[in-house]
Amino acid sequence: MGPRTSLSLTLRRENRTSLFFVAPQFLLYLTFILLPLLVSIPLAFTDLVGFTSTKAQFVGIRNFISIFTDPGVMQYIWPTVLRTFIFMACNYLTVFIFGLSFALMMYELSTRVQKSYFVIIYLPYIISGLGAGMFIELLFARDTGSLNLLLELLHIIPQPINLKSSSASLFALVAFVGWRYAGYNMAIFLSGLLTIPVDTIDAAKMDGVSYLQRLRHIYFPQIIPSIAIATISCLVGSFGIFDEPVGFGALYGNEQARLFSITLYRMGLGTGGTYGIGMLAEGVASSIVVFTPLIIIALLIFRWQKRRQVT
Amino acid sequence: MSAVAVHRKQVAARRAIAVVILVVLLSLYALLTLTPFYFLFIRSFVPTAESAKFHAWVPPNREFNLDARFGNMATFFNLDLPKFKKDMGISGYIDTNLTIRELAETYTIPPEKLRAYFQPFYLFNGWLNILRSAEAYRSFIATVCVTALAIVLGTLLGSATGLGLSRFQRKWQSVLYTLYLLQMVIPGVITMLPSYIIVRTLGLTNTYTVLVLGAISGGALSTMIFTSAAAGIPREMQESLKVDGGGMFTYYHSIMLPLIKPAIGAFSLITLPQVWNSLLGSLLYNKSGKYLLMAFISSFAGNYSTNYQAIYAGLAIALLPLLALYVGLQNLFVRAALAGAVKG
Repeated sequence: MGPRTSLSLTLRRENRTSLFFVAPQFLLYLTFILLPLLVSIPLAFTDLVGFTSTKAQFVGIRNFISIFTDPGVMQYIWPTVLRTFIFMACNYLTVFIFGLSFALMMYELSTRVQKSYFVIIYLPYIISGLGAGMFIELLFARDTGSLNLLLELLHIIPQPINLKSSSASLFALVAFVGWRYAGYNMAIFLSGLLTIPVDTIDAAKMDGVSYLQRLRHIYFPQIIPSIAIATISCLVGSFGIFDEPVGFGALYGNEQARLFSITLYRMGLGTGGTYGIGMLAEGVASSIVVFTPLIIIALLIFRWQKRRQVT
Repeated sequence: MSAVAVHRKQVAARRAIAVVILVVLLSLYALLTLTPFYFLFIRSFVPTAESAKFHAWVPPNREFNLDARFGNMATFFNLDLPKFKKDMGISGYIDTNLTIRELAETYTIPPEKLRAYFQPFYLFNGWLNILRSAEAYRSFIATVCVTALAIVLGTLLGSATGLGLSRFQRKWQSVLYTLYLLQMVIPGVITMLPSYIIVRTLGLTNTYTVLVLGAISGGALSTMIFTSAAAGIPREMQESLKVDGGGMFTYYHSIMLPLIKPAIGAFSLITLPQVWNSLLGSLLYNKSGKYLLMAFISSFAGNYSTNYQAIYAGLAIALLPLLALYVGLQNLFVRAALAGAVKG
């Protein structure tokens, strides 16, 4: 009886110390990540107009109705949501066009060559999203963009590429975000590929298995977890993207670069500033409506992926 | 030669061609990737008046035009007016409509002296603008401090979390771990509006503290890296310490921290660019006097919307330190990137 009690005592003490170690960061996590999620629910039922206002009244489900019926509110939300969906779809293509194809290319090269290309392809991910957004203007501003001027000089294009026109802005954003995240996605896919035992591939090569067959039967099954992770991060990331549009002037006049995240930011600001809308409560309500299905989809992919690993 | 040998040779030849094509493709892309950085550097010297022409290199210095209006130049060059007056021996109000030549006549200053004063602005307007901006220095130093604090405190808190979650799989531990993983599907934008309300309630708006606290609040990556590192240390290490009478705290700082250096390295190099490049936190919680570098550059670019030299010099200042560090520590960065990718 004696030894057992002392053992459980030690266990209990260790459990307490574990709690002590976990507590400091968890308090912060609670304050900055979990609590805001919870607070957003009551907030959506008030008439709070902006960050600085303190008076808030309970208005029931009015905000949830007005974001679907009031043209004055809808004009801010739905065009940017639609634009963000288009952005997400295109962004998802770049995950594979850039990320996956680079990973497959790198996989065929020797480790040393691989490293030097990795350093360069990963470079844009290290620099800021704001910088990447500003690069669009640097290279493709209609009259002053360096690449525009160069391509004109070489007679490759008859007139400058005008990115401020409606649809081009969005696709410029897609291209530069794809460029910035190329290294990030490549790392995800490459680390998946690098878990394949070398023997497996050598044996396949010995047997004269063609590249396409290897792709289908060896590489692809191995990178399904990577695809799941890249999908989740693209899904969530596309709606969370903020820095690149700001760099591309979304806060200063470039309306075509305004994604949903920019609208939410503007809704939180009071109407006083140059780009504030002052509809904080409506913003929170619309973010609940838009993000809930996205998060559920992301969690389902996450769970499916974990289940797959277990079985 | 046997058929097998011929076949092998063919395969090897085909592979060699494929590798050459790959290298060419990747080299082209690498070149394309470096292009913006090159033009950023060049354009920080190209005067706005010449920016509609293509410049492959820093343009030659041209003689400053004395017929330019003083007011326009002073605004464009962000001239320190009191200092200018003192240097030129002018007192009182200057008519901004005067050209530089007329200014020289009015105040009997040799035109050459004025030309010499304005000449450096022709190429270096952007760099002078940013290097003489007190806000630029303040935001630079603030960003260095916030980033350093975020890495050090983030490592201490994150590794403590890792240790706390890695021992004894109790129910609460796996619940907490899952809650941290949840962060992966919560973009910062969704919590932005309610976060502000919470931060305001805590009285932390317009402080650097809120930026540090936000950066060290943990998340999926930090928890996964540190928990798996802590779990990877053999159990016997702690048992032997217990025999010697050491507690969990002794174990944490004298055994665990030295042993998880690779995890600390990966965490630091993933956190470094994230905090250095962070924009939303500053824009959201702080006012322009307390912006970090990226928010400062963003508002700077908004203010100088036609002064390309200044915008690009500013952006270069914001990107260069990180680029230098990346080039210097490239091996470690690559390792951190792959380590982070495995975790997702």
